[in-house]
Amino acid sequence: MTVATLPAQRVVQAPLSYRKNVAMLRGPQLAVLRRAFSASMQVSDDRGWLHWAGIHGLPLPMYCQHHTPLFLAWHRAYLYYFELTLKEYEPTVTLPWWDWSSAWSHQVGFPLRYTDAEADGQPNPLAGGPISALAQQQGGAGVPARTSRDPADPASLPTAAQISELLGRGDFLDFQQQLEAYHDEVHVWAGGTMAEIPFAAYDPVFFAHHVMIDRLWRLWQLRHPTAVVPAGLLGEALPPFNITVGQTIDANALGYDYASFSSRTLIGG
Amino acid sequence: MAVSFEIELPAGTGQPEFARADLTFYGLDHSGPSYEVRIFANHPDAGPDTPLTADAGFAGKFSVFGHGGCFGDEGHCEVRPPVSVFDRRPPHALVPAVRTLTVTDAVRDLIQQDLRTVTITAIPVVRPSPLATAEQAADVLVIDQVALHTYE
Repeated sequence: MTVATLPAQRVVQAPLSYRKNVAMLRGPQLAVLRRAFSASMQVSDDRGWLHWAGIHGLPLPMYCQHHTPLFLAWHRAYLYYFELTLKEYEPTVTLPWWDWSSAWSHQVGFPLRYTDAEADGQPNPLAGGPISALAQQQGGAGVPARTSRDPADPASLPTAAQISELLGRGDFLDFQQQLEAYHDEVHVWAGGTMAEIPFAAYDPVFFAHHVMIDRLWRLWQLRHPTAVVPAGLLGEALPPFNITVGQTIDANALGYDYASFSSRTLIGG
Repeated sequence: MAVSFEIELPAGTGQPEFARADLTFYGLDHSGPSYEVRIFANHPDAGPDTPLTADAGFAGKFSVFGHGGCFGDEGHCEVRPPVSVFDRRPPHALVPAVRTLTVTDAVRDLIQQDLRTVTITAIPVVRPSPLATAEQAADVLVIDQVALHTYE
Protein backbone atom coordinates (compact mmCIF):
# COMPACT_ATOMS: atom_id res chain seq x y z
CA MET A 1 0.00 0.00 0.00
CA THR A 2 1.32 3.36 -0.88
CA VAL A 3 0.77 6.04 1.57
CA ALA A 4 0.98 9.44 0.05
CA THR A 5 1.82 12.29 2.27
CA LEU A 6 0.50 15.57 1.15
CA PRO A 7 2.63 18.57 1.87
CA ALA A 8 1.36 20.41 4.89
CA GLN A 9 -0.68 23.35 3.86
CA ARG A 10 0.21 26.57 5.49
CA VAL A 11 -2.76 27.80 7.42
CA VAL A 12 -3.19 31.48 6.84
CA GLN A 13 -5.34 33.20 9.41
CA ALA A 14 -6.50 36.42 7.93
CA PRO A 15 -6.31 39.00 10.70
CA LEU A 16 -9.40 41.01 11.43
CA SER A 17 -9.36 44.73 10.89
CA TYR A 18 -10.14 46.70 14.02
CA ARG A 19 -12.24 49.82 13.90
CA LYS A 20 -11.07 52.21 16.59
CA ASN A 21 -12.24 55.15 18.62
CA VAL A 22 -11.27 58.27 16.67
CA ALA A 23 -10.16 59.85 19.94
CA MET A 24 -7.54 57.11 20.29
CA LEU A 25 -6.06 57.25 16.79
CA ARG A 26 -2.29 57.82 16.73
CA GLY A 27 -0.72 60.23 14.26
CA PRO A 28 0.20 57.66 11.59
CA GLN A 29 -3.23 55.99 11.81
CA LEU A 30 -4.90 59.36 11.41
CA ALA A 31 -2.68 60.13 8.43
CA VAL A 32 -3.75 56.85 6.80
CA LEU A 33 -7.41 57.72 7.35
CA ARG A 34 -6.98 61.17 5.85
CA ARG A 35 -5.07 59.82 2.86
CA ALA A 36 -7.78 57.25 2.22
CA PHE A 37 -10.60 59.81 2.28
CA SER A 38 -8.55 62.25 0.23
CA ALA A 39 -7.79 59.60 -2.40
CA SER A 40 -11.45 58.59 -2.56
CA MET A 41 -12.47 62.21 -3.11
CA GLN A 42 -10.11 62.49 -6.06
CA VAL A 43 -11.68 59.59 -7.97
CA SER A 44 -14.70 60.61 -10.02
CA ASP A 45 -15.90 57.19 -11.16
CA ASP A 46 -17.81 54.49 -9.29
CA ARG A 47 -14.84 53.76 -7.02
CA GLY A 48 -14.82 57.26 -5.60
CA TRP A 49 -16.38 59.40 -2.91
CA LEU A 50 -19.21 60.95 -4.88
CA HIS A 51 -20.50 57.56 -5.97
CA TRP A 52 -20.33 56.02 -2.51
CA ALA A 53 -21.77 58.99 -0.66
CA GLY A 54 -24.54 59.14 -3.25
CA ILE A 55 -25.64 55.56 -2.62
CA HIS A 56 -27.12 56.68 0.70
CA GLY A 57 -29.09 59.62 -0.64
CA LEU A 58 -29.16 61.63 -3.83
CA PRO A 59 -28.83 61.12 -6.72
CA LEU A 60 -31.79 58.80 -7.02
CA PRO A 61 -32.35 56.05 -6.20
CA MET A 62 -31.95 56.59 -2.45
CA TYR A 63 -30.93 53.15 -1.28
CA CYS A 64 -30.65 53.84 2.46
CA GLN A 65 -32.99 52.09 4.87
CA HIS A 66 -34.41 54.28 7.60
CA HIS A 67 -37.42 53.65 9.80
CA THR A 68 -37.54 50.05 8.55
CA PRO A 69 -36.39 46.74 10.11
CA LEU A 70 -33.41 46.80 7.73
CA PHE A 71 -31.83 49.91 9.27
CA LEU A 72 -28.91 48.26 11.06
CA ALA A 73 -28.18 45.58 8.48
CA TRP A 74 -28.27 47.97 5.53
CA HIS A 75 -25.91 50.44 7.17
CA ARG A 76 -23.55 47.64 8.24
CA ALA A 77 -23.36 46.57 4.62
CA TYR A 78 -22.83 50.17 3.51
CA LEU A 79 -19.93 50.68 5.92
CA TYR A 80 -18.44 47.33 4.95
CA TYR A 81 -18.42 48.05 1.22
CA PHE A 82 -17.29 51.64 1.62
CA GLU A 83 -14.45 50.59 3.91
CA LEU A 84 -13.33 48.08 1.27
CA THR A 85 -13.09 50.86 -1.29
CA LEU A 86 -10.93 52.88 1.13
CA LYS A 87 -8.66 49.85 1.62
CA GLU A 88 -7.93 49.93 -2.09
CA TYR A 89 -6.18 53.24 -1.44
CA GLU A 90 -4.81 52.48 2.04
CA PRO A 91 -4.80 48.75 2.88
CA THR A 92 -4.57 49.28 6.65
CA VAL A 93 -7.32 51.84 6.96
CA THR A 94 -10.43 51.21 9.03
CA LEU A 95 -13.31 53.55 9.69
CA PRO A 96 -13.16 54.95 13.25
CA TRP A 97 -16.13 55.67 15.49
CA TRP A 98 -17.13 58.91 17.13
CA ASP A 99 -18.51 58.29 20.61
CA TRP A 100 -21.05 61.08 20.81
CA SER A 101 -22.15 59.79 24.23
CA SER A 102 -18.76 60.48 25.84
CA ALA A 103 -18.21 63.22 28.41
CA TRP A 104 -15.78 64.88 25.99
CA SER A 105 -18.35 64.97 23.17
CA HIS A 106 -20.93 66.41 25.55
CA GLN A 107 -18.59 69.34 26.14
CA VAL A 108 -17.08 69.85 22.70
CA GLY A 109 -19.31 68.11 20.15
CA PHE A 110 -17.72 66.82 16.94
CA PRO A 111 -14.23 65.28 17.18
CA LEU A 112 -11.60 67.92 16.43
CA ARG A 113 -10.13 65.54 13.87
CA TYR A 114 -13.29 66.10 11.83
CA THR A 115 -13.44 69.86 12.39
CA ASP A 116 -9.84 71.04 11.97
CA ALA A 117 -9.74 72.91 8.67
CA GLU A 118 -6.19 71.77 7.96
CA ALA A 119 -4.02 68.81 8.84
CA ASP A 120 -0.28 68.71 8.22
CA GLY A 121 -0.55 71.88 6.17
CA GLN A 122 -3.17 70.42 3.83
CA PRO A 123 -6.96 70.82 3.74
CA ASN A 124 -8.42 68.24 6.12
CA PRO A 125 -10.55 65.83 4.05
CA LEU A 126 -12.45 64.82 7.19
CA ALA A 127 -13.79 68.35 7.73
CA GLY A 128 -16.33 68.11 4.93
CA GLY A 129 -16.91 66.71 1.48
CA PRO A 130 -18.07 67.64 -1.99
CA ILE A 131 -21.64 66.89 -3.10
CA SER A 132 -22.15 65.42 -6.56
CA ALA A 133 -23.39 67.74 -9.27
CA LEU A 134 -26.27 65.40 -10.11
CA ALA A 135 -27.34 65.30 -6.45
CA GLN A 136 -27.27 69.08 -6.36
CA GLN A 137 -29.35 69.22 -9.52
CA GLN A 138 -31.94 66.74 -8.21
CA GLY A 139 -32.05 68.45 -4.80
CA GLY A 140 -33.01 71.75 -6.37
CA ALA A 141 -32.25 75.29 -5.32
CA GLY A 142 -30.31 75.77 -2.11
CA VAL A 143 -28.25 72.60 -2.26
CA PRO A 144 -24.64 73.56 -1.58
CA ALA A 145 -21.63 72.20 -3.46
CA ARG A 146 -20.06 71.07 -0.19
CA THR A 147 -21.38 69.75 3.10
CA SER A 148 -22.17 71.96 6.08
CA ARG A 149 -22.76 71.46 9.81
CA ASP A 150 -24.62 73.52 12.37
CA PRO A 151 -24.30 71.64 15.65
CA ALA A 152 -26.64 72.31 18.56
CA ASP A 153 -25.69 72.25 22.25
CA PRO A 154 -23.31 69.28 22.76
CA ALA A 155 -24.93 68.60 26.13
CA SER A 156 -28.08 67.52 24.27
CA LEU A 157 -26.40 64.54 22.54
CA PRO A 158 -27.55 61.07 23.66
CA THR A 159 -25.98 60.20 26.99
CA ALA A 160 -23.88 57.29 28.21
CA ALA A 161 -26.70 56.41 30.63
CA GLN A 162 -29.16 56.17 27.73
CA ILE A 163 -26.76 53.93 25.82
CA SER A 164 -26.24 51.74 28.88
CA GLU A 165 -30.00 51.29 29.22
CA LEU A 166 -30.29 50.61 25.49
CA LEU A 167 -27.68 47.85 25.56
CA GLY A 168 -29.70 46.09 28.24
CA ARG A 169 -32.74 45.63 26.02
CA GLY A 170 -33.17 42.03 25.02
CA ASP A 171 -35.29 42.20 21.88
CA PHE A 172 -33.62 43.00 18.56
CA LEU A 173 -36.44 45.08 17.09
CA ASP A 174 -36.88 47.04 20.33
CA PHE A 175 -33.13 47.64 20.48
CA GLN A 176 -32.92 48.63 16.81
CA GLN A 177 -35.82 51.05 16.98
CA GLN A 178 -34.38 52.89 19.96
CA LEU A 179 -30.86 52.88 18.54
CA GLU A 180 -32.24 54.43 15.37
CA ALA A 181 -33.96 57.06 17.51
CA TYR A 182 -30.59 58.03 19.03
CA HIS A 183 -29.09 57.92 15.53
CA ASP A 184 -31.73 60.37 14.35
CA GLU A 185 -31.03 62.63 17.33
CA VAL A 186 -27.37 62.89 16.39
CA HIS A 187 -28.16 63.71 12.76
CA VAL A 188 -30.62 66.41 13.80
CA TRP A 189 -28.14 67.68 16.42
CA ALA A 190 -25.40 67.94 13.77
CA GLY A 191 -27.52 70.22 11.59
CA GLY A 192 -26.54 71.42 8.11
CA THR A 193 -26.36 68.74 5.44
CA MET A 194 -25.84 66.07 8.13
CA ALA A 195 -29.50 66.62 9.03
CA GLU A 196 -30.70 65.83 5.50
CA ILE A 197 -30.97 62.20 4.35
CA PRO A 198 -30.23 63.11 0.71
CA PHE A 199 -26.86 64.70 1.54
CA ALA A 200 -25.75 63.44 4.96
CA ALA A 201 -23.35 60.80 3.67
CA TYR A 202 -21.34 63.37 1.70
CA ASP A 203 -19.94 64.46 5.09
CA PRO A 204 -17.06 62.26 6.34
CA VAL A 205 -18.33 62.58 9.91
CA PHE A 206 -21.41 60.65 8.77
CA PHE A 207 -19.26 57.52 8.68
CA ALA A 208 -17.80 58.15 12.16
CA HIS A 209 -21.37 58.48 13.44
CA HIS A 210 -22.54 55.31 11.70
CA VAL A 211 -19.54 53.30 12.86
CA MET A 212 -20.62 54.24 16.40
CA ILE A 213 -24.11 52.91 15.57
CA ASP A 214 -22.67 49.71 14.13
CA ARG A 215 -20.38 49.31 17.14
CA LEU A 216 -23.35 49.58 19.50
CA TRP A 217 -25.06 46.81 17.55
CA ARG A 218 -21.91 44.70 17.89
CA LEU A 219 -21.77 45.40 21.65
CA TRP A 220 -25.44 44.49 21.95
CA GLN A 221 -24.81 41.24 20.09
CA LEU A 222 -22.01 40.33 22.52
CA ARG A 223 -24.25 41.02 25.51
CA HIS A 224 -27.21 39.12 24.11
CA PRO A 225 -25.72 36.13 22.28
CA THR A 226 -29.04 34.32 22.20
CA ALA A 227 -31.05 37.27 20.90
CA VAL A 228 -31.59 36.96 17.20
CA VAL A 229 -32.70 38.98 14.24
CA PRO A 230 -36.18 37.75 13.24
CA ALA A 231 -35.86 34.81 10.87
CA GLY A 232 -38.07 36.47 8.31
CA LEU A 233 -35.50 39.21 7.81
CA LEU A 234 -32.42 37.06 7.32
CA GLY A 235 -32.96 36.33 3.65
CA GLU A 236 -33.74 39.93 2.74
CA ALA A 237 -31.37 41.45 0.20
CA LEU A 238 -29.81 44.83 0.90
CA PRO A 239 -29.59 46.56 -2.47
CA PRO A 240 -27.41 47.78 -4.05
CA PHE A 241 -25.12 45.42 -2.16
CA ASN A 242 -24.86 41.72 -3.00
CA ILE A 243 -25.38 40.66 0.57
CA THR A 244 -28.35 39.63 2.70
CA VAL A 245 -29.33 40.59 6.23
CA GLY A 246 -28.18 37.15 7.38
CA GLN A 247 -24.73 37.78 5.96
CA THR A 248 -24.34 40.97 7.98
CA ILE A 249 -25.00 39.43 11.38
CA ASP A 250 -21.44 38.31 12.11
CA ALA A 251 -19.06 41.28 11.95
CA ASN A 252 -16.06 38.95 12.19
CA ALA A 253 -17.22 37.13 9.07
CA LEU A 254 -17.05 40.50 7.34
CA GLY A 255 -13.45 40.82 8.52
CA TYR A 256 -13.67 43.40 11.27
CA ASP A 257 -14.27 44.02 14.92
CA TYR A 258 -14.02 46.91 17.35
CA ALA A 259 -11.26 47.94 19.76
CA SER A 260 -10.69 51.26 21.50
CA PHE A 261 -7.08 51.07 20.45
CA SER A 262 -5.26 48.67 18.16
CA SER A 263 -1.82 48.68 16.65
CA ARG A 264 -0.07 45.99 14.66
CA THR A 265 3.54 45.19 13.85
CA LEU A 266 4.49 42.88 11.01
CA ILE A 267 7.29 40.47 11.98
CA GLY A 268 8.84 38.20 9.38
CA GLY A 269 7.22 37.17 6.12
CA MET B 1 -48.03 72.66 14.35
CA ALA B 2 -48.37 71.22 17.81
CA VAL B 3 -50.42 68.08 18.30
CA SER B 4 -52.31 67.62 21.58
CA PHE B 5 -54.20 64.57 22.74
CA GLU B 6 -55.40 62.90 25.91
CA ILE B 7 -54.32 59.42 26.92
CA GLU B 8 -55.23 57.14 29.82
CA LEU B 9 -52.77 56.53 32.63
CA PRO B 10 -52.32 53.20 34.47
CA ALA B 11 -53.89 54.73 37.56
CA GLY B 12 -55.56 52.87 40.39
CA THR B 13 -54.62 51.22 43.64
CA GLY B 14 -53.16 47.76 43.82
CA GLN B 15 -51.62 47.91 40.37
CA PRO B 16 -48.20 46.34 39.91
CA GLU B 17 -45.18 48.62 39.91
CA PHE B 18 -43.73 49.20 36.48
CA ALA B 19 -40.06 49.39 35.61
CA ARG B 20 -40.49 51.30 32.38
CA ALA B 21 -43.17 53.38 30.70
CA ASP B 22 -43.02 54.01 26.95
CA LEU B 23 -44.98 56.46 24.87
CA THR B 24 -45.00 55.11 21.32
CA PHE B 25 -45.86 57.30 18.34
CA TYR B 26 -47.07 55.50 15.22
CA GLY B 27 -47.46 56.79 11.70
CA LEU B 28 -44.87 59.55 11.83
CA ASP B 29 -44.24 61.22 8.51
CA HIS B 30 -40.59 61.52 7.50
CA SER B 31 -40.91 62.69 3.92
CA GLY B 32 -40.04 66.30 4.73
CA PRO B 33 -37.28 67.97 6.72
CA SER B 34 -35.67 66.44 9.78
CA TYR B 35 -37.33 67.55 12.99
CA GLU B 36 -37.34 67.26 16.75
CA VAL B 37 -40.50 66.59 18.74
CA ARG B 38 -40.70 67.87 22.33
CA ILE B 39 -43.25 66.18 24.54
CA PHE B 40 -45.02 68.01 27.36
CA ALA B 41 -47.49 66.61 29.87
CA ASN B 42 -50.49 68.69 30.94
CA HIS B 43 -49.14 71.82 29.31
CA PRO B 44 -51.38 72.35 26.26
CA ASP B 45 -50.05 75.87 25.73
CA ALA B 46 -46.46 74.67 25.37
CA GLY B 47 -44.55 75.93 22.36
CA PRO B 48 -41.08 75.86 20.85
CA ASP B 49 -39.82 78.33 23.45
CA THR B 50 -41.17 76.46 26.49
CA PRO B 51 -38.26 75.44 28.73
CA LEU B 52 -37.36 71.77 28.68
CA THR B 53 -37.88 71.32 32.41
CA ALA B 54 -39.98 69.02 34.54
CA ASP B 55 -41.72 72.05 36.03
CA ALA B 56 -42.98 72.93 32.57
CA GLY B 57 -44.20 69.37 32.07
CA PHE B 58 -41.37 68.38 29.73
CA ALA B 59 -41.32 64.60 29.46
CA GLY B 60 -38.68 64.05 26.78
CA LYS B 61 -37.96 64.49 23.09
CA PHE B 62 -37.20 62.49 20.00
CA SER B 63 -35.96 63.29 16.51
CA VAL B 64 -36.95 62.15 13.05
CA PHE B 65 -34.31 62.06 10.29
CA GLY B 66 -36.26 63.26 7.28
CA HIS B 67 -35.99 62.72 3.55
CA GLY B 68 -36.06 66.45 2.90
CA GLY B 69 -38.78 66.43 0.27
CA CYS B 70 -39.54 64.54 -2.90
CA PHE B 71 -36.94 64.57 -5.65
CA GLY B 72 -38.61 62.37 -8.21
CA ASP B 73 -41.44 62.80 -10.66
CA GLU B 74 -45.07 62.99 -9.66
CA GLY B 75 -46.02 59.92 -7.66
CA HIS B 76 -42.44 59.00 -6.75
CA CYS B 77 -43.04 59.61 -3.04
CA GLU B 78 -46.48 58.04 -2.79
CA VAL B 79 -46.34 55.09 -0.43
CA ARG B 80 -47.70 52.16 -2.42
CA PRO B 81 -48.64 48.74 -1.05
CA PRO B 82 -47.21 45.57 -2.61
CA VAL B 83 -48.79 44.87 -5.98
CA SER B 84 -49.29 41.20 -5.06
CA VAL B 85 -48.29 38.60 -2.48
CA PHE B 86 -45.37 37.80 -4.78
CA ASP B 87 -43.99 41.34 -4.57
CA ARG B 88 -40.50 40.84 -3.09
CA ARG B 89 -39.46 44.46 -3.32
CA PRO B 90 -38.56 46.22 -0.07
CA PRO B 91 -41.21 48.48 1.46
CA HIS B 92 -41.48 52.01 0.13
CA ALA B 93 -38.90 54.29 1.71
CA LEU B 94 -41.57 56.58 3.12
CA VAL B 95 -43.58 54.01 5.06
CA PRO B 96 -44.40 55.99 8.23
CA ALA B 97 -41.99 55.74 11.14
CA VAL B 98 -42.46 54.65 14.75
CA ARG B 99 -40.73 56.35 17.66
CA THR B 100 -40.78 55.31 21.29
CA LEU B 101 -40.05 57.71 24.11
CA THR B 102 -39.35 56.29 27.54
CA VAL B 103 -41.26 58.43 30.04
CA THR B 104 -41.04 56.36 33.20
CA ASP B 105 -40.39 59.18 35.67
CA ALA B 106 -43.00 61.46 34.13
CA VAL B 107 -45.69 58.76 34.30
CA ARG B 108 -44.82 57.93 37.90
CA ASP B 109 -45.13 61.61 38.82
CA LEU B 110 -48.55 61.85 37.17
CA ILE B 111 -49.80 58.74 38.94
CA GLN B 112 -48.62 60.13 42.27
CA GLN B 113 -50.88 63.11 41.56
CA ASP B 114 -53.73 60.58 41.32
CA LEU B 115 -54.44 61.52 37.70
CA ARG B 116 -56.32 59.10 35.45
CA THR B 117 -55.50 60.79 32.15
CA VAL B 118 -52.84 63.13 30.86
CA THR B 119 -52.88 65.63 28.04
CA ILE B 120 -49.81 65.20 25.89
CA THR B 121 -48.63 68.05 23.70
CA ALA B 122 -46.10 67.34 20.98
CA ILE B 123 -44.17 70.36 19.69
CA PRO B 124 -42.27 69.95 16.40
CA VAL B 125 -39.12 71.99 15.88
CA VAL B 126 -37.26 72.23 12.56
CA ARG B 127 -33.71 73.55 12.63
CA PRO B 128 -32.85 75.58 9.53
CA SER B 129 -30.56 73.77 7.09
CA PRO B 130 -29.75 74.05 3.38
CA LEU B 131 -33.08 72.39 2.55
CA ALA B 132 -35.23 73.34 5.55
CA THR B 133 -36.66 76.38 7.26
CA ALA B 134 -37.95 76.72 10.81
CA GLU B 135 -41.39 77.58 9.38
CA GLN B 136 -41.75 74.03 8.05
CA ALA B 137 -42.47 72.99 11.63
CA ALA B 138 -46.01 74.16 10.93
CA ASP B 139 -46.90 71.02 9.00
CA VAL B 140 -44.08 68.56 9.55
CA LEU B 141 -45.68 66.59 12.39
CA VAL B 142 -48.17 63.92 11.35
CA ILE B 143 -49.05 61.24 13.92
CA ASP B 144 -51.42 58.36 13.32
CA GLN B 145 -51.67 56.82 16.81
CA VAL B 146 -50.02 57.05 20.21
CA ALA B 147 -49.89 54.30 22.81
CA LEU B 148 -48.68 54.23 26.40
CA HIS B 149 -47.16 50.94 27.51
CA THR B 150 -45.79 50.06 30.92
CA TYR B 151 -43.60 47.08 31.70
CA GLU B 152 -43.12 45.30 35.03
